[in-house]
Amino acid sequence: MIETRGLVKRYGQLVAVDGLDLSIRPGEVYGFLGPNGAGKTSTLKMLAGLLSPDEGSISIAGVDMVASPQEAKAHLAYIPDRPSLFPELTGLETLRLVAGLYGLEPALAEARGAALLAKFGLAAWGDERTGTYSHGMRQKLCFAAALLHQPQVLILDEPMVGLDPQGGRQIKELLRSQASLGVTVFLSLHTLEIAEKLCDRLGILHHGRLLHEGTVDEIKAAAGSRQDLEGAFLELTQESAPVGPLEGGA
Amino acid sequence: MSWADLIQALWLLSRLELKPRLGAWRRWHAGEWARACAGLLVALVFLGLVYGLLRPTFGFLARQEGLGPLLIARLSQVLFLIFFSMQALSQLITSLSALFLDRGLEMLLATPLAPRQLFLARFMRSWAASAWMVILLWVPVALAMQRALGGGAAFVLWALACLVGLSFWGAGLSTFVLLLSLRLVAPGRLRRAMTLVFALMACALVLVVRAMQPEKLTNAGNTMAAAEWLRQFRLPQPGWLPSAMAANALDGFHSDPAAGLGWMALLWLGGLALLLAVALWGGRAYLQLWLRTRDAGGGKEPSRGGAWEGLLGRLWDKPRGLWASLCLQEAARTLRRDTQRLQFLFLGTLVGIFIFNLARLPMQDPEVASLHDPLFIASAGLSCLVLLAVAARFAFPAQSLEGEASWLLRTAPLSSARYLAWRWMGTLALLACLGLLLFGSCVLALKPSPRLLLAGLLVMLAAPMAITSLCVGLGAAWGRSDMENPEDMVTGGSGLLLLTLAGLYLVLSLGLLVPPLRELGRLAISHRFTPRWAALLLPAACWLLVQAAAIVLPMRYGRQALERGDGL
Repeated sequence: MIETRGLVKRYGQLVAVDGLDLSIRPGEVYGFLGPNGAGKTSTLKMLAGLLSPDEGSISIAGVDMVASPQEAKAHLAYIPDRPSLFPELTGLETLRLVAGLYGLEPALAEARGAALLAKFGLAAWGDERTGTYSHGMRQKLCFAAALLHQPQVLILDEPMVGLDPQGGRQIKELLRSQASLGVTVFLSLHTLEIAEKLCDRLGILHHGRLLHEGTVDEIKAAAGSRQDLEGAFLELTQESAPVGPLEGGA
Repeated sequence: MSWADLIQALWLLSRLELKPRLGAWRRWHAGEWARACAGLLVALVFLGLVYGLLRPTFGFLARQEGLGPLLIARLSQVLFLIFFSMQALSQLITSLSALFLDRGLEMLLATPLAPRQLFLARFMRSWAASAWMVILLWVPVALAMQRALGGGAAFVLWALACLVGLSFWGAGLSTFVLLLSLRLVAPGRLRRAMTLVFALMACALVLVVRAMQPEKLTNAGNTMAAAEWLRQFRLPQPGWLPSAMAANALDGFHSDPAAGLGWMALLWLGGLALLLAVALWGGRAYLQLWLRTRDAGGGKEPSRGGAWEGLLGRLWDKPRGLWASLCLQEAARTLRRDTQRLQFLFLGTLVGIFIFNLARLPMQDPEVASLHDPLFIASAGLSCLVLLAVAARFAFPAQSLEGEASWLLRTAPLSSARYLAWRWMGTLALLACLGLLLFGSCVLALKPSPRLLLAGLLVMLAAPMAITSLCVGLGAAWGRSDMENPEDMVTGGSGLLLLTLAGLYLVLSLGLLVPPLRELGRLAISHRFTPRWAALLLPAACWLLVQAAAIVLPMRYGRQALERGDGL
């Protein structure tokens, strides 16, 4: 469902993504891990068609993103790390805009939009401007907008940030249910506990390169670690040096 | 407020403003340096154009027997007032942003840094941000004056010192007004209160233009019209206004050096005293005012769209098609944003003044009959500038105004080319209506000759398309989703580049029409159809080429930038 071959992204001298090969199947939840600046967000933006790769290819649901970006984008939905929406539009207007962008049939889009707002507990807020929404509410509206056109691929950048425990659980259940419907879920994460519970497979990115890929057990085995995922992750990314007291500190 | 505070503020400025910028420049790659050099070149061309326009104007005025210095002094009064207004308005906007709306303030105020030191640092930063471009723009003015009046390098430095002194007043008064407004008006309503300020400014503009009575320029019917008008002209500004002080100080350089020095001392010392007073008061009240602003959401909460709201609600009561959805979201975002509505008001006033002054021209006066065509050329040129002002204010920052929510549009199955084409057509439709109104007014009021009517029609057909392309294409290429004040994009460096390129386009577009028009005039006089084809067709072909380049190239540049993901 998602295929990348030799994906490269450069910013001047800096190589953010360096020859990335990925292959993610339909119905799979794939977690993308890596330290800050590893190239996760750049990869996600390339998959979502927001950035063009300098080299390599991307295929979404069998459609080449570089050659036919519109067709590829019609199959996916993206949620950025910061749930930024147009503050001047109401929640309902945001969903109507998305429906228009994806060419949904008006009556169907209106019904789906109302159902999604209700599902995320935003039904009473539909006529309020998103500028008045809290972070968590905007995050939920982003999810509603993403699911409106029933995409085959979901690309999510840090989807759990800013959500309360109930909201976090709801999103985890939602992602698992989407995966059970055959939707491919590709998400970047920093919380390893969530990654361990939610993802079918994990990929660890470091300095733009895919260090390891596999199930949680395979990652642990690759690290030669009998510890938890956190220990394995730190070992693989070689940043597990214990943090002692700061110089001059207590 | 002490010397230690000042030193701390300067340290803060160097660490937070200068050092990161220097660091960023060091990391620039060849492409970025090339772009910067190209920008610098265009800026120099723009400044050269300003000098090229003012040099003969000042020269003409200086040559008027016995009146030269008086006329230049009058013109310098007008220029100082314009520069003062520009800087004061810019200071109001930048200080609101730097002192109260900037996202980094929360973190800085959580540090052990004294709020008065932070206020001082940001106050200085906003002065620099509002003054640098005004001072830079003053350089060609000062050079042109020096060429006309003499006085060598000392005069240029004196003229620059006048403007720097004036900028202290602009910074001090605007920041004082801002702080006072925040104290008196609930911060949440500040932007709405600024509507009133803009309305008052628009009224003041109408009054000033009526006081100037530009239609008098046509009365004399000879080349002395401008000089005569300027001699009679009395700007409604008392001597204690900072711009009048600056004009007196500049005038004194040649006429009465002692008086000039006195005015300069008053300008500088008064300005510095005002800055000190604002720094002292602002430093004390800053934390409390910032907390009030933050608690009120920074005054950034979306406002109600007023009468438009009902119409928008009816039009968008259910999902619509792609183009309708894009138009409706753009309309909603524009009409529900106070700053955008204010600009509508201001530009509407400008258009109103333009049409009103056209209607006031004494066209039935037989002496003015010979001026119909020249006035038509000037009015058509001004119409193009009004179109440029509207497009630069609304279409140029449109991409940046999408802000961080632009992902919503850019991840949708909508190609960059189609998206830009939609914005181009939407802007063009509005500009074409406005152009028709302005051009129609010019034609009705001035009744130009058929030759000029044809030329004017060609320009008014092509110019909206090219101006739209420049604003939409370059706005997409240079826009950034994380811009703090996208509305102010047009007053920044990229805005200067846009206006220079658009100015060059207009000069080329109008200039290339002159040879064919002259040739047609010659044919009309000779009553024989023996055209010099080279004089007729070559400029016409070049004109077409310029139009094609101005329409196609910026859009292609913008599309490529969007496809690369620039500005995200």
